[in-house]
Amino acid sequence: MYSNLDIAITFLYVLLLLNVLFAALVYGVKLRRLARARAQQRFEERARDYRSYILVHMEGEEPLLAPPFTMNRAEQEAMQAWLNDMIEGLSGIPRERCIELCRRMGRADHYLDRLRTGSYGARLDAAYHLGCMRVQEAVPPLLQLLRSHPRNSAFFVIARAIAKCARSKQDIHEMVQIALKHNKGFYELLVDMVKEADIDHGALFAEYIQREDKALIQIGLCGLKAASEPRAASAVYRLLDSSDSAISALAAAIYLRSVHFIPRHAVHKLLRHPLEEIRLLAAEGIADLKLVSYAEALRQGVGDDSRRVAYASASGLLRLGEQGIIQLCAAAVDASGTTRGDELNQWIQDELRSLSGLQHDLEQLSRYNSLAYHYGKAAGVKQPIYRVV
Amino acid sequence: MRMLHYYSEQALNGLREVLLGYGYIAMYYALVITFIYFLIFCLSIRHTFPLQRGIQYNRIQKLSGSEQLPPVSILVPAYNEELTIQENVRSLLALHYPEYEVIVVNDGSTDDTAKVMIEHFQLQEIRPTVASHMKTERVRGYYHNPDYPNLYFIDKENGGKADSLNAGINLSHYSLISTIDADSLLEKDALTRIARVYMENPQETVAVGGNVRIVNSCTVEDGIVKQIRFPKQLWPALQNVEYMKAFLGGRIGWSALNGLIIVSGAFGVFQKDKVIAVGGYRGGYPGEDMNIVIKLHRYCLENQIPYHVAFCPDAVCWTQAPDTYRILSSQRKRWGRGNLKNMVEEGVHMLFRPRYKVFGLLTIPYNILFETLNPYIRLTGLLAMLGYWLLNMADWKIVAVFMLVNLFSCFILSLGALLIEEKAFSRYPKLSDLNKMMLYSFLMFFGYRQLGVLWRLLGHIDFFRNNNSWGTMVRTQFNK
Repeated sequence: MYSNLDIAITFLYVLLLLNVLFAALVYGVKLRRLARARAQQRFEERARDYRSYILVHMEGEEPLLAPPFTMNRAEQEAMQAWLNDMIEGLSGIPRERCIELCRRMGRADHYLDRLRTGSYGARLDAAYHLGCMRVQEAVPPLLQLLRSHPRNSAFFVIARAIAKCARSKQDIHEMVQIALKHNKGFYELLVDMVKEADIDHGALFAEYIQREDKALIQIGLCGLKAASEPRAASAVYRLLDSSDSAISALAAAIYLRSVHFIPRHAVHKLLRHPLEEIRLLAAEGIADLKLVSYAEALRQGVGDDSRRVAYASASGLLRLGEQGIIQLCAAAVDASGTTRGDELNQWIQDELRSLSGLQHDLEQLSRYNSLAYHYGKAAGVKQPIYRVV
Repeated sequence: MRMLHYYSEQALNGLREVLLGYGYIAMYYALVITFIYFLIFCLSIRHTFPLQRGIQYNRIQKLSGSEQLPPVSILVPAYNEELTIQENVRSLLALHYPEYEVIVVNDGSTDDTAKVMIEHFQLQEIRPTVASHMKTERVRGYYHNPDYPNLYFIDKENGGKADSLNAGINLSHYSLISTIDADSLLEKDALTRIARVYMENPQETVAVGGNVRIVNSCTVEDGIVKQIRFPKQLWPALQNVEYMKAFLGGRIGWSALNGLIIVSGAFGVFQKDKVIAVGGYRGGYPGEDMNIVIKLHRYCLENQIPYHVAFCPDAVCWTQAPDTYRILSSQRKRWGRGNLKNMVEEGVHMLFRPRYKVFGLLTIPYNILFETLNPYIRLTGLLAMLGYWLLNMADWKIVAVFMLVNLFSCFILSLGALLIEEKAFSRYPKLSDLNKMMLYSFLMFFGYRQLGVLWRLLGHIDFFRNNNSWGTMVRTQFNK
């Protein structure tokens, strides 16, 4: 009769076998990896002269020659990885020459074949390599692959490959549209990919912010977030009123970074914006641009409901020189008796204490003297004034 | 006499019945736990392939320079870290990441942590605009040096790790926060790797956990792990394989199910507004890293916010593992206490409630039944085994077979973690390292795991005795 113990013993044998198989698998993977590393090291020795040749002739006129030795599959992959690194690290003609070398070595055709006929892993591998080699013919099959691919890390590998291979703005736009169907808000990652495309991405982003589609506007704004030309300011101005807080906050940040002067109507719009983040940026922006003529507007900011905006405005006024300090002291006196007034007076006194310890710095000393004088005058608090010798 | 014999026979029969009943319960318990272990393990293995592809095909070095990476505020709570803080901060300041700030929070250290920070980085007191999202212990001062524009230092009165993190959040300027232990070292591209995971789904990813590895015996230069070696000492070696199993064999799978219950306090990234929405870190008790993740799950599920708590195994943080019995037991008792507190405080409210989806139906039951109650099951199991033997209900053969089945069904999970390590990461270059990993993975079943159960039980006793201290903690320099 077959008892429970017999079943348990059989199960134990199966378990033991599985353990042995797993252990063998672990060692197999490790040994394979070690063998591969050793082979790669040997190949690197062998290919050293050829690599030197490539580096020396990178900028030459003659086409780069293919390696003068035969390579097995692993060696071809190692060589391809090295060329990929070169392509990604270079720009202009040297990059073109490396790409051209890959083509002449038949690598582009090899990966195009794999992209069309390979298994899923092979197709993904092909997408990556075709992207590195900027193979434009790969765009249609890559777009096809992207359309049917679920959203995961590999999805972005394919999308990036399309961006690298893109023939025109249209290819990029198509890739962006496919990605946006997932509606997951990965705008920054898309922008990072689009920036790899060999197109005028600035123009594409500027075009996107003119669209009605909020996702495209977000991509456009993310793409322009480092922009600092006045052109960008005028392009994003209308978006300050957007109902989407992410859009208006991004637009405000770009606007304030791109202007050299803020018109009065814009200052009012920004300082009265419902978003705290925008009011904060505006207060800091006025101080950064040293727009003394808006000291009075900034004084209103001192009474803002948000403590962060109030302190940013107070600190901005202090940076605006004498005019700002006069407004700051007047605001503190006006608000006396209220919580905000007490906080402001305390803040000014703390500031005076802190500045008085920085007498070695002429700018800070002048600021201290001005603040001490005007605060003393407005609030009737006597503070010592230092003479600059 | 006959009556006595009769009654003792009755009592023994009753005991036999109880033990038999217990045996059935224990068997089903073991079956369920093994099933869940294997489910998670299979998910981890399955997700290793896409992970490997992600590592292979995403050019992290290039992404590190991208201005599209989200800015991050790194929060470093420090308590009596005078030996490691300088090297840790230097390493953090040298990360390959375009926009980030490092906020070191001195939690009222009794050693010279504050002095070391202020003197080494020549910090001056500043008065920044600080938000008041969370109440904290009194802050003595905020410090900054324009020569290190992305370094801030907060000196505050002692309030615990959670309180320090909350103080850091109040000062932080960016919408993502990263928490890092002061005795840990981040790899240069770790933040970029974690940011990549976040960027792939920024709306839903509320937290991403990094992978914690053991730095003991590795060579560290200028805050960078230069040479990776398997720990030479016994305790760190055992913890090394234990961490590997937990992180690679467990967290990858749990993350795939969106049931990850913990983002290690040693290294994780969170959406700041969500952390603020759940009231920040819970102070006054250990286990704040698990607590914040449970609260995030609960908040998102209750408010029907689509979310994901992700795990990024290629983002590595190197940490010093306790190398003595005393410190290790203290750490594990603290973990046990924290786990119990979290389950009592949060877990039981979510247990088996469909509203909390996978988290309420799988993660929390798993945690309560197989983590929190584990010491009691093990202890009663041991007593039952004794009973089976004394009452002739089982012979040595049954016991041996049972133990071997248990051993090898657990060891295969360790092998699975090693397989994931070798397939996707292979951080330990030598074959001898793999041999050691294999050996310690096996050895951990003979004493170490049993000690783990004991430490957890002692942690529970501390919990019931309201012992709320952090326990023994000794810091040593890297490369000691």
